[in-house]
Amino acid sequence: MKQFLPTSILVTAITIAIEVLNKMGMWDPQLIPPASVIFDTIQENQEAFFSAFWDTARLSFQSLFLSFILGFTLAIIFSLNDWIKRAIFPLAIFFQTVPIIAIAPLLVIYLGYGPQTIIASAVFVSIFPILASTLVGLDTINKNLLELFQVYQRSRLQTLFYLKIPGSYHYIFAGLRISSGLAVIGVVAGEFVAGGGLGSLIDTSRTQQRIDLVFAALIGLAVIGLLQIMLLNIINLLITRYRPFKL
Amino acid sequence: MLELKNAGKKFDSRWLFKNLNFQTQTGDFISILGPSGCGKSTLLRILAELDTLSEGSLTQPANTNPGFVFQESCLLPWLTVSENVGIGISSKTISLSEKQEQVQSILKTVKLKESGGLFPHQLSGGMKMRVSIARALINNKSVLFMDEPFAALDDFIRFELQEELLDYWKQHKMTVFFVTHSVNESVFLSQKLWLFPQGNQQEFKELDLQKKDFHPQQYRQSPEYFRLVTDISDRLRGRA
Repeated sequence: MKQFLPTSILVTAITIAIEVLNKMGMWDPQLIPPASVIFDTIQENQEAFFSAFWDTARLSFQSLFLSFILGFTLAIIFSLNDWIKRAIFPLAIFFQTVPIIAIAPLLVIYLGYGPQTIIASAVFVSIFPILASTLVGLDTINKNLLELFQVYQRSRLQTLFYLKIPGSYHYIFAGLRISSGLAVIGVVAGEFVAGGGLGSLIDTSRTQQRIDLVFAALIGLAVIGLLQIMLLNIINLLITRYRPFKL
Repeated sequence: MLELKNAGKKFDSRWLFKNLNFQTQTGDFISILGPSGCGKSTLLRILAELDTLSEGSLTQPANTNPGFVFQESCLLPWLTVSENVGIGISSKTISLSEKQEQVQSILKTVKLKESGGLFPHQLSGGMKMRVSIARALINNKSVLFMDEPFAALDDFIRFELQEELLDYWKQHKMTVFFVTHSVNESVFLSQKLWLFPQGNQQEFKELDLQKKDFHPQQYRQSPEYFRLVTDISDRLRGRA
């Protein structure tokens, strides 16, 4: 917790400063609303806000999970078969360069309005860091260790589960951390075009010039991002403590 | 018995070695000696079937149970000392309790009985190498491949580990292939030497040191030891 102290102090100081300046009439609440105004807005729109928050949070977690499963599985397949890797990986890099906001309308045409489009949009954005990091981890295993497993006649599957995956663990996790933020971005981009959630709330608030509601939604998104990081940290703690990679 | 016939290894267009003809008997302690870059480690990897010959043949006895020690200790950082040593047991038929018994026994041999629960980052360089050797020795290995295992250690630890390895070999008489660029180390440890002389890659020599039974610590001080070191250094430089 000590590491978050400087950030907490800074955020608290800025929040108090805006609040005081607003009370003194020296702050334009239409530019950045004070915390009290945002808090009041959330209370007034409780039902709509929390329903949107829950939708976005649920889809973000689902997308991150799906990205992990797909990205991790693809990386394993790529590491086992160089031909498949050389065929598909350049395409993955190519699609990574296409902005999601340009792809999202296409996803609506293919998949229609609803959560399927939002999840597809989030997976599209967040799969690449997991895939690329896992692949780097699997490909950079110490050559001597691989030979050691060869000398002791370990099968390819044993080498994968007991050496390659645990040896790439830090890479996989770094990819997951990056993807957790991207999943939220992908969900919001999907919600802009497919409707629902905090993305849609931001979009409608924008048209009504409700800056306070936009900020409330932004805080909601930040909370979702933090919850995802917290969950990942808990999983990381459990994995390093119980070490499920014992041979 | 292991036999190399007209063995050669080529990297791109360069022959690393050629026309190698060597034979070993079970229980030999062989040092593969030569300057850096002469192909010693490649030969060791070929003997361990981690690489292949470009020409010639290698005949190995069936059902060898090999152990390998690299220059680095090569421990898995997420496993404890005991778990790292357990990797060396390749038999699928062994029960968990037997496995643990073997691990405990070999840890006692390498003087790490109390360290089984530690992780690699908690060990010194010498202790890590002991774990690596224990992993290679466990389960009564019949052949041991060692690729400059003591090169990165200080003299005190190196001498200690050399003497312990020699004691273990005398008791168990497994075949050892030991790559080194140290003449002193090779003379101290081995019964036979495979020499890779500098700049004359066609003349590989096998030397039988014809050592009698000796006490390791006394041998290091003996005139015979110094004579052999001088003689082999001269041969490697092409002066003999």
